[in-house]
Formats: sequence, C-alpha cells, structure tokens
Amino acid sequence: MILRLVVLSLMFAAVHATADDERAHVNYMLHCQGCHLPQAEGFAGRVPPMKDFVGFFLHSAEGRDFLIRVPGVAHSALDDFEITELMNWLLQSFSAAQLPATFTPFTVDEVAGLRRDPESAPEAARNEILSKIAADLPTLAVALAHEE
Amino acid sequence: MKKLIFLTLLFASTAFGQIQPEPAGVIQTLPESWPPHWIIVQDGAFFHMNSGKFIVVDADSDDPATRFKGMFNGTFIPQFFQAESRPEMYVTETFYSRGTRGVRTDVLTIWDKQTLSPVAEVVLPPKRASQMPMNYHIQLVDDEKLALVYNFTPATSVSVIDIVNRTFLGEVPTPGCSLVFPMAGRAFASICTDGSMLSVQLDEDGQQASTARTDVFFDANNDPLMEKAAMVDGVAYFPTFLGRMVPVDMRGESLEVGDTWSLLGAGDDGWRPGGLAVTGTDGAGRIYVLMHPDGYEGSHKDPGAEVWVFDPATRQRVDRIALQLPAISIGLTRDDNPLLVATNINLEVDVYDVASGEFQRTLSDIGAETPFLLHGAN
Repeated sequence: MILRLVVLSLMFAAVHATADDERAHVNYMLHCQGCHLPQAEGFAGRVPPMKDFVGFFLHSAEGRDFLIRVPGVAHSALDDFEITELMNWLLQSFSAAQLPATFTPFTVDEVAGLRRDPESAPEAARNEILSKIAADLPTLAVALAHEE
Repeated sequence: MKKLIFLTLLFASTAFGQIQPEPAGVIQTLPESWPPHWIIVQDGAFFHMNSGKFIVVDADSDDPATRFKGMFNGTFIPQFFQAESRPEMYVTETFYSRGTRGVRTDVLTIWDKQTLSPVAEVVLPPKRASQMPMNYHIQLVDDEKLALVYNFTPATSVSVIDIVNRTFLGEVPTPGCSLVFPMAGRAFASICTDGSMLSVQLDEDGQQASTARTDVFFDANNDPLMEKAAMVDGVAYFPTFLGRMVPVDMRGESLEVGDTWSLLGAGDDGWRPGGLAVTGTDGAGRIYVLMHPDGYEGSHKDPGAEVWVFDPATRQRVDRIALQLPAISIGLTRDDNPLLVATNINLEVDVYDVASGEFQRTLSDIGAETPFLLHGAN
C-alpha cells in the first residue's frame, strides 16, 4: 500500500516536474491576463507593462526576488511549481531581450521560499529596485524615461 | 361646428370647476431622523451605469403615490455609506469629462438626509474600485472622523479622508488585500487573497502607522470566505461558500479570528449561502443569511429561497423565513420590530415582517430598475 502510494507520488511528481509551455500559457490566461492583457502590454499608469520590460528585473537579486514577492504572484492560487513554470515561460515569451546573459530560470524551491514573504509596499519597492538597476543599465533608464 | 364649440365650453367650465389650483414649486424636506421603516434602495443602473440613484422609500406603505420619499444620484456604480452621528450619507462616484469618456474624476459626495442635496465633495485619486455595489467599499472609523474608500487599479489601496473637514489625507497600500472593514479606533482591516487578513493602524494625520497580518485562516481555493460580512458589535461574521461562519473580532488593536461554526444543522445538507448582498443584521444583533438549497461549485451567487436568522451568541438558527420569490439581495430596517427587504429575481423589492415571517408587499413603482442593495435607514 505504502509502496504503491510512493510510486504514484513519484509518477505524479515526475509528470508535474516537466515544465510545459502550453500549461504556463493557459495559467497566464486564467490568472494574469485579466489585468496584464494577452501580450503582457499592461495598462499605462495602472498595470505595469511586462512586455519588453519585465526581464530588466533580473539584473539585480532584489529585482529577481521582487517578481515572486509581488502580491499578485505571491498570493496567486497557483502552486509553487505552476508559478515557477509560468514565470520562466513569461520571461522568455515576453521579455527575453531584456534578460541578462547570466539569467538562470527560477527554481521551485526558490519560488516557494520567496512567495511566503510577500512584499508589503510593492510600488515603492518596484521604483527603488528599478532606479538602482537603471543606474548601471542605460537601456532601462531610457525605458523608464519613456514610461514617465 | 356650433355644437363642437358648445361642447368645448361645457367641458372647460366643468374642468375648472373640479380641479383646485395646485401650488407649484414647493420644495419639501425630509425629517432629520427618518421613520424606522424607511429604506434606501441603491439602484446601480446596470444597463446605463452613469445614472445610478438612491431612492428613499417607506417600506410600510401600500400607496405607491406616497411611499416614494425622494431620490438622489450616484454616478458610475456608486458605493454608499450612512453616518450614524450626523444626518449625512456618503457616496463615491466617478465622472468622466465627456460623460462616458474623457478625463476621469472620482469624488466622495456628501449628501444631506433632509434635503437629499449634495452639501460637499472631496476629490479622490481616480482609483476607487469600479465594482458591483457592495458594502465595505466605504467605512467610517475613529468616531466617524475618518472616511475610508477602497481602491482597485488593480493594485489595491485605501484612500483616507478627513470627513469632518472634507479633505483627502492620503492613501494606504493594501497589497493583495481588498475592501475596508472598520476596526476600533483609527484602524481598518482588509481581506487578503492568501487567506489572511491585514490590519492597518493610522496615525493622527490619517497616514499608515503600522500594519499586521493574521495567520492564514481560510482556504481561498476550497472554501473561500464571502467578503459580505455581517458586523455585530465590532465582530465581522463571514459566511463561507460551503456554509461555515467565521467570526473575526475587530474590537482590539489586532484582529482575533474566532472559532468557526456551521450555518447548517441536521437535515440541512446542500444548503449554501449565496447572492449579491447575502447578509444582514438587525438592531438586536441577529444575523440574516440568504440561503439556497442544492448548492454546487459555482452557486455562490445564486438567488436564495430562504433567509436564515442566527443568534451569534448561541450560534443557533432562531428563525427561517421562506421568500415568496427567490432573492439576490437582502436588507434589514434597524428598529426593534424590523422589516426584512429583499430584491427578488424580477428585480422588485419585497417586504417581509420579521416577527411573523409574513410577506407584506412588493414595493412597485418606485423607479428602480436594478435595486442591487437595500439599506435600512440609520
């Protein structure tokens, strides 16, 4: 009985542990695009655009953490694996050109830890993180100037 | 031809003889303290949202000509709150510079209860939540000195207003948490998507002084809280989708989540709370919940066939009122001999006597198209 349970669990884990772009996209449609819109273009002044932008966050450790600690992600109804899968898909799909060359995908353990410590002042944190990155990254500075 | 003129003269003289000249241009005012069975019908004007309105009605009256007491406006799905210590009502509204488009302006409008006229307004950040009418979008705290307005852009926050001096004080972020529930003193609570609640203490200037989070106490995926709480003596009672009741004590500096109890007794399997305005309270502190049988995953907005009445002290159902037509929203008058009012599935307002449980009348001809919320007058 226990053996069978273990085998089943392993099977389930194995099935689930393979990232699936289609499942990530469906989860994006169900849980994100209502506000962020189908191409992650956002809504000027209200919903930050992620298209051709969200990859900039990966240029600092705080920025990487922020993408998981922001309440919409941290509090999402998705589980840790699904969030990891979705975020890695999203970064490659909407903002690959902005990612640093050293980018490594999010891991499930990393996401699990970060989302349990949600950011309590997301707007202030976002501004601070981005201005720090922009100091060393002219392309982001230009994008931010364009945003204002 | 001659006959026609004669007839016309005859008719004219008769008409003048019967109709007394009516004084025109008379503007009446309502009493400062309204009779206990007057209600405020919140018409969200669902099919033309820029012309919502609030209709004051005597729910005791069988006479359509006199039960309509007055009306005031609320633009683009207004939200509503009545003061207890002042003859004032507060409405958050949205206006666009070209009617249905253009530059957006949000205001908190202060309406006088006697004249049903706007006496002041406070311009707010254009962020208030544009959502179906629901309680807990506006609240007063700090002995009714501060007004709080829930924002959703979809980033969530709360606007803080000095309602005595009619000034906007600032905005408090409530990331991942929605609506405003009044806490004791200068504080409010907000319900969060991870299954916890946030509490925010404000300083003397209405700015955020400190925040705290409860532990996770409900499962947003499997048995979510309905945000439609019934408040009794500073305790918010949240029904869950599956029919549990979760009390959260808001009287202290921090939130205390109480023991959960079930709305369902023996033989009540399948009954669930549901609707738009699902809960109500009366002056005696009883809680009314709109219930439907044969509930299923997704039936949490279905109309209710009965209203169940609970005593929160004993956690027992004390009454059960069968509705003559299923209803989507309920409200209670605030007196010792309360009326239950209910928006039925034909979007008419039905009146029930709580003591007898008897249906009394339908308040037709009051000019409401989509009476989403019903408020007993303070």
